[in-house]
Amino acid sequence: MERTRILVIDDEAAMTRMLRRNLERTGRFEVREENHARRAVDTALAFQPELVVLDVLMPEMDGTQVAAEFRQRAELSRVPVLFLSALVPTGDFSTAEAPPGLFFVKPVEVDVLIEAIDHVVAASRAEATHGGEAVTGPSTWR
Amino acid sequence: MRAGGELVEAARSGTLGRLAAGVVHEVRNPLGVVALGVAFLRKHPAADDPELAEVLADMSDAVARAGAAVAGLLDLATPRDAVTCRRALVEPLHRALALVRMQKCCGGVDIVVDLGADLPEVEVDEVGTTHVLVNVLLDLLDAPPGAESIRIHTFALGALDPGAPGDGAPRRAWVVCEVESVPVRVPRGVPHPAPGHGPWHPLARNPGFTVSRQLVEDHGGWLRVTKGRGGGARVTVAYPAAE
Repeated sequence: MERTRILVIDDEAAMTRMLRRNLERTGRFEVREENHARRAVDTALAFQPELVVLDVLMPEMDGTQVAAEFRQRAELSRVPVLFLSALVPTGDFSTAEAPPGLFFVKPVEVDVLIEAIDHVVAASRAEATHGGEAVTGPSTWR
Repeated sequence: MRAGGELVEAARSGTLGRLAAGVVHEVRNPLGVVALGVAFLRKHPAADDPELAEVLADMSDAVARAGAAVAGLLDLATPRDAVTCRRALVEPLHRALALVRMQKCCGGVDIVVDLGADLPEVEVDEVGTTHVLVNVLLDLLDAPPGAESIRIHTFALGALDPGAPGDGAPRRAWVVCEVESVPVRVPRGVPHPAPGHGPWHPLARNPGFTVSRQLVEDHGGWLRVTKGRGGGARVTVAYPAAE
């Protein structure tokens, strides 16, 4: 079975390592880590992820800036993004870059994250095949 | 000494509020690493797992990091009387830098530290001095138009050196911590004014500096906010060298 390609972008190397370990051990995901926000677009262009897990608060560039750069690139504009942040109060996040259900507060439960990834990737694949609405997750994941 | 009373309390409250978000971030991130580590170990508990040692090391580092963040904030948060004794100025400077580096606002700003060698000790209250230096650093990081780098330089200043207090001031040696925000790259050859010299920077009117200045003056020192190279601000904090 072909594994789903996930790009994890976070300036915390320990965080990206832990996410990679947990996701890859399921046998269903291929994970690429990126710890420098400024390299995120180049890494994404090379890796062609089906989903990006993106930290919000990073020193080089804000996660929403990274997402905005993705939106401006035709090759990446439709890649769904799950946001992670350590700083926003739970359930108190709203931005045009993070549709409902695609935002998680650290520490995140890995099973909940995997459930969200599965849902979003399935919706994204369906959208690519049939066209349709932008991908969002259920509000219960917030 | 007034530094032991209301001013320290005012500085303490203000500093804690400014640091809170950074400390929350600094604690939640390692918590996230630990939570993912626990999830991994629950599902893959084999003792001969090749990644086990790395997972445990990452978790251990994360716990230590969260602990240090909480301890640093707790030191500043605990109400206490000022304790003035001889110490190297670099001690409160390092504590201040550790707290300020938790703030993601300084993540894109280079903080360049140039510590002078063999500086005399100073007689200060460590926590109060940490408050002063934290507030100086945060003020310079927050000040528009935004710093490309923050340069910190500690050095000794003789009684007759340029920049030392002039008429009426006691003839003594000083230990100086100069903190400068550099908004753009300063071309080579731009002269570096004497410590504390140059026109006043508008940041000097910041109410936080009034408290900081008073705290420094209560220890016999002085604090000046002047325009630095490249249009940035330069804060010079000087304490008398312990005799």
